[in-house]
Formats: sequence, C-alpha cells, structure tokens
Amino acid sequence: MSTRVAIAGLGKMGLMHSAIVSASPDAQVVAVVDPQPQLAHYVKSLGLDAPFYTSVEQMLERTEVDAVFVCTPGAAHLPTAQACVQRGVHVFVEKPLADTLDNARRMYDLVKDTTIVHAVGYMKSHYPLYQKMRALAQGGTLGRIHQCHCTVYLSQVFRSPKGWVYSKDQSGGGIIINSTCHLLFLLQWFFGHVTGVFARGGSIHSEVEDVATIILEFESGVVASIDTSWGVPGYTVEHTQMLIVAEGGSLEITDDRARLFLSRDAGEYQQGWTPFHRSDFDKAPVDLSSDYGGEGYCNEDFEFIRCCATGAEPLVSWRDGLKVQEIIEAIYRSLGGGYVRL
Amino acid sequence: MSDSNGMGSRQSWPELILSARPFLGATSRSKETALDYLVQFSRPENSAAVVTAAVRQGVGAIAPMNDTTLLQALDLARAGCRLQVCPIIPNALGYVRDATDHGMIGAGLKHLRRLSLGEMLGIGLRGLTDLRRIMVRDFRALLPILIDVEMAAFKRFQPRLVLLHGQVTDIAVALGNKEALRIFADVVRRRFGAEPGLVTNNFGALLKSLGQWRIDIDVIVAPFNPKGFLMKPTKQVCEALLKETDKYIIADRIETAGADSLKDAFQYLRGLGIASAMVEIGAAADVDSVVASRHNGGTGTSGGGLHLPQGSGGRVQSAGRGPSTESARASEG
Repeated sequence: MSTRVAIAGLGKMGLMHSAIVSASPDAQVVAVVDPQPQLAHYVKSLGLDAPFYTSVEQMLERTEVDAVFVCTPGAAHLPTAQACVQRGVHVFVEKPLADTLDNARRMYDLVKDTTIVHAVGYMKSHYPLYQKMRALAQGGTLGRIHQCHCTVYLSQVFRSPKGWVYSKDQSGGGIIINSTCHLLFLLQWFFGHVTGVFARGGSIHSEVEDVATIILEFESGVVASIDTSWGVPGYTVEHTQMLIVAEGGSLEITDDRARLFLSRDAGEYQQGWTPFHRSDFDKAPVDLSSDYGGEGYCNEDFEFIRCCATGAEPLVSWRDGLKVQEIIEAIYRSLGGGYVRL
Repeated sequence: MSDSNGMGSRQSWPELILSARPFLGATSRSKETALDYLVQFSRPENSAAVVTAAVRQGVGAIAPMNDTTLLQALDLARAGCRLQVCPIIPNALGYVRDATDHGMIGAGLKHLRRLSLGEMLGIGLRGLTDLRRIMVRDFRALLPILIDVEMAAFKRFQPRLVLLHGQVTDIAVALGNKEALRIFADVVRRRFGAEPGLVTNNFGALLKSLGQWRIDIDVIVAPFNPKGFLMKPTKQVCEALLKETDKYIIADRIETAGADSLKDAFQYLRGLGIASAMVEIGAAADVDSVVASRHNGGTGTSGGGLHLPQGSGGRVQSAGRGPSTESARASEG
C-alpha cells in the first residue's frame, strides 16, 4: 500500500520533500499545509495537486494520512508534532529536531513509548560516502583517533538578513542550529558521546550568531575543533570538511570526496593515499539537487517511507536528534560563558 | 532552428560545449580548485581568455547561466571569436539562496523587480502590483515572465538552443508538472525562435514523462560517464533508454572528479553513440588536452563527423543522436 504523506511547510525544503515523495513508487503526497493561504493556487500550479490546508489540525481532521513531513520553522516543530502524534501519524521533521532543548525533549517524550515512526533530517548520515567513512573510522583502520578538525562554511550572510532562519524566536539561533548542526550530528555519530564543550562566537550582521569556533570533547578521547560561518565568500552551497588525525594516518572528508592516508597497510587499505568519491557509492535512484544533498535527501525520504510501511526505526530518530540538540544547547551556553560539561 | 509551427527540425549541436560551472566557481573537481576558479574568474577578462581559446580550438558553444561577470566575459570573448551561446535558465542556485531569505514568492518577486518599466510593459504587466498578483496566483502564468526576465540577459547572443536548469526540470517531472515543460518549450520557440532543451539528473524519469506527456522537446542534457555518476535511476537503465530514444543527447558530467580520464570518458560516449558533450575547462592551457582527449577517445572526428556505433541503424545523425519522431515526420512532410 502506498504511504499517504502530508507536507507541512511549503518553503524550499517542503517543496524538495514533496518532489522526492512524489518520485517514490511507494508514497504519494495527499495533502499540503502552510499558514499562508495565498500559496494554495501557487503550489497547485507547481504540480502539487493535493488538498491545501492552513493548519495541520485542519488537515488531520479532513484527510487520511500515514505520515507528515514537517518542514516549518523550528519553533513550529513541537506543536505540529503534537498534533500528528495525537492521531498516531508518523512524523519526519527537518533538522534540527526543535528550536530549543526543552522543546526537543518534549518532542522525544511524545514518541518514546509509542510505535510512531519518527525521523529527523540529518541527511548527511544518508550519504553513502559518510556511511563508508564512518565505518572506516570506527573499524580501526586509522588506529586510535586523536583529533578531528572541522569547518562548515557558507556564503549566505553579508549584510543584515531577512527571513525566519535569522530569528532566534523562530529558528532557535544562527549558523550553529541551522547549518553546523549537520556536522554536530556527524561528529557524535562518528565518535560517540560528547562530554564537554567550549565555544566562542557571535553576530556580525544578524541578531543571531554568524560565526563560531567550537571545541568538543568526546568520551572516546577524541577532541574536535569546529570553525563555522555563513559569511565566508566562495561557498555557494554549504561546505563541510572533516580532517581526522589518528595514530595510523589521517582521513579528510567532504560531502563529495574523501582522502585516506595510512602510514602502514591496514586491513584492505595500503600504506599511502587512497581517494574516495561520492560516485563510488551513490546508488540513489533519484537526485533532485545534485549540488547539495542530492542522494542524501533521496535516501533519507525513501528510508522514512519504508520505515512507515514496516514499523522499523529510521537511521536518525528523534532520540538521535535530541543528542544533537543537547550539544547545540551546550554550545550556546558556552558562547555566553565558559566550558560546559554534558 | 525550429520551424514556424514550433516543431523541432533536424538539428545538430556542437560536439563540445563549454560548461559554465568553472566560471561560477562550481566544478566537479575539488573545493580548492573551485575556490581557485572563483578567484580567477572574478575578472571577466580571465573567463574571456578561456572561452576564446576554447572556441579557437573547436569548442562550439558555451552554456552559461545568468551571471553578470560571466556575461561580461562573453561580451569580451565575442569580440574575438564566433561564439554560440546556449543559456541555462534560470539561475537556480540564486533562486534557492533568495528563497532562504524571502520565501518562494519573495524570491520570485526579487528577480522580477529587475525588470525595467519598459520590459514590464513589453510583456503585458503594468507594474509590481500585477507581478505580485500573478506570482501568488499561478506559477504557470508566472513562468513565461520568468523566462523573459532570464532571457533578457541573453537576447544579444541570439541563442539557438535554450536549456532549462536541471533542478527545475527534475522537480517539474517529480511533481508531474507537464505544463511547466510545455510552457517552457512554447515560450522558447515562439518568443525567442530557439530550440528548447532540458538539463536533467534524472534521465530515466524525464524520458518516461516526456513520452507519456507527448511533449516535443528534442534536446536533453544528462550525465553520462563511465562510473555512472548521476545516471538515474541506474547506469544500466540510462544506457538501455539511450539505445531506444530518438532524442538528441548532450552528455554532461562526463568527468567524475578526476576519477575517470577524459579520454576514457570520450571513449565511453563514443561507444554509446553520443556525439555532444559538456566539458569543464578552467584554464586556456587546458583547452588543447581536452580537445585532444576528444579526438583520441573521441565522440567525434577531426573531420567533424561521428563514428556510428555498430547496430545504431543510422539513427545517429551527423553530430548526435537523432531527432524525435515528430521532428523527423515534420522534415519528411
């Protein structure tokens, strides 16, 4: 049976998920929701020929849906999730899980003892390249890992910006919660539990933080540094880079490629350099944004749809989203103070 | 060039078409290379030098997006060589960035505000109030205006081929929006006298939809490379569909981040019977090696013709896969 999906929030991510769900042979978009009624005719003429509602509650009363993709500003995630969970509807929320740690906890409490399928859009975990590199990092090929130097850059904010993304009330913060959160997910997915955070940063053009420098300590002994900014020229799309330094070599990873260096043979890898490219692993059947997120978005949505049909737990559940939110909260506390222990 | 009925006629397109991605700091090569390109090509004369060298060595066209610096470069290059321009519209990345700040409708309005009063009157609009009314009402009514806005920058190059950006094509196909593709083709033919083409990263889905919707667009730009990168849904399916289609295919993303050599890439295309390819060239000094790879690995020959793969049945025309059946019928008629 085809999974009946509603899309809540018709910004660029809502449109993207609508298109991917529509491209799936196992799902269909049966309703769309946005508080702006003037969008109704517009989205219909884009090809989204599903009933339009201005509230999730109204949609849930009038339409039979199996799952909702929540693509609203972060502050609307909790109330939207509450409405869905009350009716037993599966929920995918775009990242981050919520605008605040408190709301993220309340969201996880909604679903933790239920059979509701819940996922959060940390789509980089669905890149086969990152999956392969995580297996490599955790498999002992590199030996003991000491450090991970990371950057997240984006050319987006060069003057006072407009939009909900730059409003703390609506999105929860700035570059850290809106963009760097992808890397924070990857780091705890690669290296495990974060035990401490130290961060400095601030605003240049926005009312939220535009830049930050962050140190993360992990229970595993790894120390990660992050430099992040959405005001760096030359990064038309978000660019993430991780350089893992280990006893047996190093591993540099971006969204497109990776470079392994080993000081001696280890497992299937020989001493010296081994390059990888996303084309070595990408098997997604659809790619709607090849310059950013292509196979990640497709794999993520198709996996969620499969989980809705089978009841399986998605790769990135709200429990995982909550872990990232705890790190985000600790970083924000550290920005205004000192070292924060988790 | 299309005929007056809007039906495509027999066409061939250049064997090598210069991709504009390096000039915009986007390349299949590394991020470091992309940043170097961005710095280098922030000066239009540097882009113009590469374009001019490429054209002089036999690269037949460039496929630019609407970018002020790049357009300045094309003006400079045009002074020194005959340049065929095949625009890719719209500049989708620009829209996506603006959508972050202004929402979908706000992003569209921002771009439309670039129209002068004269241009607005020319396309039947009385001002921003009219624009906003159309914008919030109907994407289909808006689309011809968006095409006009984008094409305003390219009119001076008198393009023979206008390509719809891959992200727009693919989202339209995914959402079943056949009217968007039909309107694009119609506006490009009627208003600009050019042949419409579609860029895609979902070749299989696009071919299926074009067939079902009976939309007469003959030119498709799609990834074809030895590794199968971005050949969706799979490399095998794309290769099988290629054998059956009568569309004119221009290969894109032929290099996979240096994983394949250009010579291998051109050999692969030749085996498939694809005669036209987008190539990324980031320096005038690289032009010779790209053109040599084409000849050695070759989609074409030094004589400009194409070696037909065995069993092609002659469907491949002088420089590419053949015209659509509709086009062929029009020519026979």
